[in-house]
Amino acid sequence: MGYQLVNMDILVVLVGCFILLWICAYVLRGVKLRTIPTVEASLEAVRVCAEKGTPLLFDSGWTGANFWGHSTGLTTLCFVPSTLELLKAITTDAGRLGVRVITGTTESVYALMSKDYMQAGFTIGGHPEMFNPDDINFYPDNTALILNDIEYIRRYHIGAAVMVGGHNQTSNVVIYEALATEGAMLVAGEIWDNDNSMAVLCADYLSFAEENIAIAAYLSPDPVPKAVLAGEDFIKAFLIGYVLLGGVLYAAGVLK
Amino acid sequence: MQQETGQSRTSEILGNLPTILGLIGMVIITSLYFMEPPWPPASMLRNATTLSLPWPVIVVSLLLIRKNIKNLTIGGSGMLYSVILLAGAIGMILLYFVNGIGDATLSGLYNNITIVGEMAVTSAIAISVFSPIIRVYRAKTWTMAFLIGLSILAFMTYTPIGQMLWPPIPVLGDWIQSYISGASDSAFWCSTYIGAVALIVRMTLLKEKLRP
Repeated sequence: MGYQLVNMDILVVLVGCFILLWICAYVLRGVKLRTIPTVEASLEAVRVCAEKGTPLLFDSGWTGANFWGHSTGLTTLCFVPSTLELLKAITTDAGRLGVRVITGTTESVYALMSKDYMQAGFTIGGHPEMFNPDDINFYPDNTALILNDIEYIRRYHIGAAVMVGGHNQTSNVVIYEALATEGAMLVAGEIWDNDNSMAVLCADYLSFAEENIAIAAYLSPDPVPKAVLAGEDFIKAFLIGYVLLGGVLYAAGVLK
Repeated sequence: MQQETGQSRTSEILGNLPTILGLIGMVIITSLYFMEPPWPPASMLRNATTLSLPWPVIVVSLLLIRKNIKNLTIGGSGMLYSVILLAGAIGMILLYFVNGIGDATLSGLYNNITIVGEMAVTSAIAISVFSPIIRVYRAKTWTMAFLIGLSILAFMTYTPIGQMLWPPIPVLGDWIQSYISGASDSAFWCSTYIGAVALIVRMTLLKEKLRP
């Protein structure tokens, strides 16, 4: 049976980006990155909970769920390493400051992985005894997640929440509302742009999808992931130039 | 010296075996998008991994049941919730074993219980259109104030109010939706996918291991 290569244009772009980023991994080592607000704000959220004496709600929503088998749904998978590393960083500080962390997810594999990362975080924080597996909640669907989140927010008077992941744009506002009425600090970094449209109006700190994918590299002490992160800017600069040039040529009537 | 390097390389490969196997699997499955007709081993691997997904759900569901049994035995808070959850879980499992997934009582219960939750959330969302948005949306910065202004414009564009107030309002709203929102949506997805490719690059460099 003869096989034929298809979608060659996409393959060329993919391989081109791949090679460029791989080169950047070696060339841009030692580069200094700008601050990702979500990370710093998440650690601030732990301190807020320590001051208020309340638990922290870490909700990763649909992170890790493969929706529709479509590329936009698959982006939730890209959030897995980052949100888990953020969870570890949060629980490390929570361990030091004696803050309980309650998490919720709609993805079963992610729930199992959360256990390892939380356990590691509390151990690094010097208080492995603070790890409680019952604080990792798995919900079969978004409805259960919302209802349980609100129940936790009300019952424990949650002092701060980190909602990094995917929450439906219409339902996340219900959780935001519960947090706002409790006077809780909200750090949000949603996956999709329509979710972020709600978060941008409610959250105290917000980051966008690309920043959220970068969190693991940002938190890593290794210079290589940071160099790859910086390399993304070359692709973005190229794209911006490409779009601007196309716009000018179109306006000038050269392109039709 | 060579032996030491060899040993460290071997230990590096063995230590990263799950990532390496995952990457090989990813390349094989990705070939489905770039190869016609689909390569049978790629289809088989994709189907096998997809079909394995319910297994972790079973494990986590059992952990959830264990958690609520523990809560009942120690008399923790939310005991009523634990009782309802366990009774529901045991009842549903028994019904499943009696007549399988096609059982009318099982499907009726499942759908109706789900509807209760859906209704609660949908009602909360419906209310949020008027009530919480007014309280939660805070114009803390000029950007937020600008976005709230745009939200009001969008509201007026897609309801008769804008047309009634001043006909150019829906025209302006449509223009912003088509050009500004459309362009920013494309930029959003471009940056997200660049981030996704960068993530894979870091994985191939064995820098994203999914290991705490």
